[in-house]
Amino acid sequence: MPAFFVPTLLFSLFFGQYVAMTISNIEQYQEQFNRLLNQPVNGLCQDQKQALLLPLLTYLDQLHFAKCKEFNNISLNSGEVGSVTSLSDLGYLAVRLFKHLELKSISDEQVFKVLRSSGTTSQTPASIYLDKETSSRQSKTLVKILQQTIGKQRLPMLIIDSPRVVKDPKFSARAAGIQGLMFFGRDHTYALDEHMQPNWPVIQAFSEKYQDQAVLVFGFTFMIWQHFIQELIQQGKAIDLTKGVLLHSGGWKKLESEKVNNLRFKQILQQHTGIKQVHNFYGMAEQVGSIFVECTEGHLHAPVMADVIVRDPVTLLPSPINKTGLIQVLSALPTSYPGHSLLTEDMGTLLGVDDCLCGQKGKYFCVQGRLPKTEVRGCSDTQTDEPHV
Amino acid sequence: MILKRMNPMSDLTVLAPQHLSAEDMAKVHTLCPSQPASDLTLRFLQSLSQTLLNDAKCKAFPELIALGFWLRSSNIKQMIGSNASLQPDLRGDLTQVTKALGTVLHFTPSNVDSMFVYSWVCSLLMGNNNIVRVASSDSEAKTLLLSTFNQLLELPQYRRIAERNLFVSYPRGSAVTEHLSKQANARVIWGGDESVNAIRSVPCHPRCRDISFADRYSACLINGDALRNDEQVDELATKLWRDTEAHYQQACSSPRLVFWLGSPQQQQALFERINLFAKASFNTKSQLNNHLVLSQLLLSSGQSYPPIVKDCILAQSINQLEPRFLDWHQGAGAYLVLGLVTNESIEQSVEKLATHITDKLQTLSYWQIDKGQLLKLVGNPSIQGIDRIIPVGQALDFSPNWDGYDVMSQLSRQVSVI
Repeated sequence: MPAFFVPTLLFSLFFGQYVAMTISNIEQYQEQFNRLLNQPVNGLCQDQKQALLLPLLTYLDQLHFAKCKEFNNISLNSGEVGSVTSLSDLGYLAVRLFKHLELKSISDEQVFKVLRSSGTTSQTPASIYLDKETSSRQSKTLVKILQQTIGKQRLPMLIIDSPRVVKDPKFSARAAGIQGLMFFGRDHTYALDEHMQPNWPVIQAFSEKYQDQAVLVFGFTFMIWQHFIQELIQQGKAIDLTKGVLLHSGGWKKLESEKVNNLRFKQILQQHTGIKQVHNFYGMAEQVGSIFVECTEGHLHAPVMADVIVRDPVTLLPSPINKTGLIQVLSALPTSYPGHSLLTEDMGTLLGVDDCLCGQKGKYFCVQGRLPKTEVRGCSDTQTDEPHV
Repeated sequence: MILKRMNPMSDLTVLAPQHLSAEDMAKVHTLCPSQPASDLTLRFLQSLSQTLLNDAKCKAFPELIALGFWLRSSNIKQMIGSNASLQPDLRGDLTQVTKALGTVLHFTPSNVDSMFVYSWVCSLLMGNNNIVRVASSDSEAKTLLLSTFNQLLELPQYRRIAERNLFVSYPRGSAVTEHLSKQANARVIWGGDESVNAIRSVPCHPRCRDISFADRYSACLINGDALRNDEQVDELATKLWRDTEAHYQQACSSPRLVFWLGSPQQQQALFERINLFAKASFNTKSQLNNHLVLSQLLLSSGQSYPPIVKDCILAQSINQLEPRFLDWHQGAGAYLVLGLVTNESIEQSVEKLATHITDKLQTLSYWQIDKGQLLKLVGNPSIQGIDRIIPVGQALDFSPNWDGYDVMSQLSRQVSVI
């Protein structure tokens, strides 16, 4: 019997009080999701959180099994037998499948938008099909998570990127990331020009206008390092954003080659901008909304509507704390596409559960970069350095 | 305003012979070509063979040893001997002379490191001058190969060959391709479909011949009824692995598809045996992840079953071959197993194979199938694929008859005197 036919699960209506709970239709799912959204983002112990998450994820498994043919075919044959009693019992899709297949659990008419992410290492973009409901859940979740970090007030916002990116008619994940974050700011100011060069007069005016005020600074990790911090260093400039909060994402891969880690990134950033509060976050185009934000201790935390499992890259069994492996991400959000449980190609380490010194509960972890890309070699190679004209 | 013309040669590097420059390369097409199968060429190829076979550094690369072996003078002589175009044909009053085409431009595939050497050697044997564009992604085997060329081409006795055979590299998209194409009498183009088409669309000399080696895949045909004991399983596993291991199963002639006829009883045992071979070299996290991805992709089609083996290799059964299955295949030890198990005889099953063979199928290797049946199969007019049928274990052995071309006669011209 496949995993998703388990009918009865524990559900916690009130803290500590577990009752058997089954979600059997989309209305019940949405109702329970809304309850989850009202829980503290990082306040529940792992047991309590699992009791809330598991029925939602089990329902999503059943939903996609019924609605998505490809997911159905994979689940039926992946050889998983037995009941789902914990999050790690759920099956997972390899995230690369979204680059090759049109995975959706809705009709073509219900598609509200298609998110395409090219990633940095592959030419084939992933296609993520969103309906209005999933898209709305993504926005609400992002709001809920980020308000924890930057508060409810909309802050003046400096975007370390070029306005060209969001003007591009192709809806890229980079543009989606910027647009998603713009909601949290006002007076949106692009720090880079069309050619990805710092627009110094604009940056200067922004920092003077909001001197001594809290501001939000957002960008992709590599862009900030390459096109902002490096430029500040080279030009011998410093700007004053002492009360700024920097949010950044996108991975450290390119910075690793320059021997820049999180700590050094923060030190140099503070030297040149005065920004003390810096939060990296981990998330993927295949699970927009449920992001993992860095705490004051420098650890990424799983929010209440999502979770993380680290798996041994060879056996694919869950790895214990402090053992590096492949990251599996769970998200209670997607009903329009089967992306609730994905095995990523990122390596990471689970650092602990419920006991981070920052005080937040649940699992916390770090990301150590991507699996090395296996070369596509040979006669049929069209991706690397063939003779090309 | 005067428009400055960029010199297209400015972004070109001569990799071998190292003592030559882009200016020397520009002259190659003006130099007189050579006599086909000249003594000098044969001596040079013999030296190349000996260097590859004796160099301790080459020992680590089975593909270079195989190349050295292929270049032995006995094999080269056999190739020339079996090539009718090189035998002066004196029948009555008809006399035929074989001549070089002139200058041949080669575009090599990016990572099947040594494959391009074979077509270059065929061209060299026919007396042509050659410019070989080597893809710039580096591999140890390729670096070693080029340093061997350099070592030999510096010798005074091979000066004539050195002047006429240059290995170069330049960035993709460079104007060099067009510049050289206009001087070439033939282009040998290895690459993916897109790259081949891109190069073929570059204007060339009106009488230039293009020989294209584009995307192909290969299959192995196994008679399951002829796998009765462990020894036979072991022998087949060893041979199939030999065809898989070199170039990480990326060569077009490495089998990615397995047609299984007769009893499937030993399937599990065969692939577990191959998996043991693979453990030593096909075990990176990325490769395992590729196998997981391919396995799930195949399952998603509804035309596949849970893997037979999914570890260092992936062996997974499919009901039918969809073209996208091969696009998903990333090499590194993955076999799509198409069972044609029927109640019929092997002979009838072989006939049924015709419906599963597409024009992209290059090499069919076989285990314990009657040659007569194979001849009958390939003779079927509905089959557009299959350019080569060989016993399993020999899939990567190059022959001058490749992809359906007789490469040596394509790279020469025959002049009849009547």
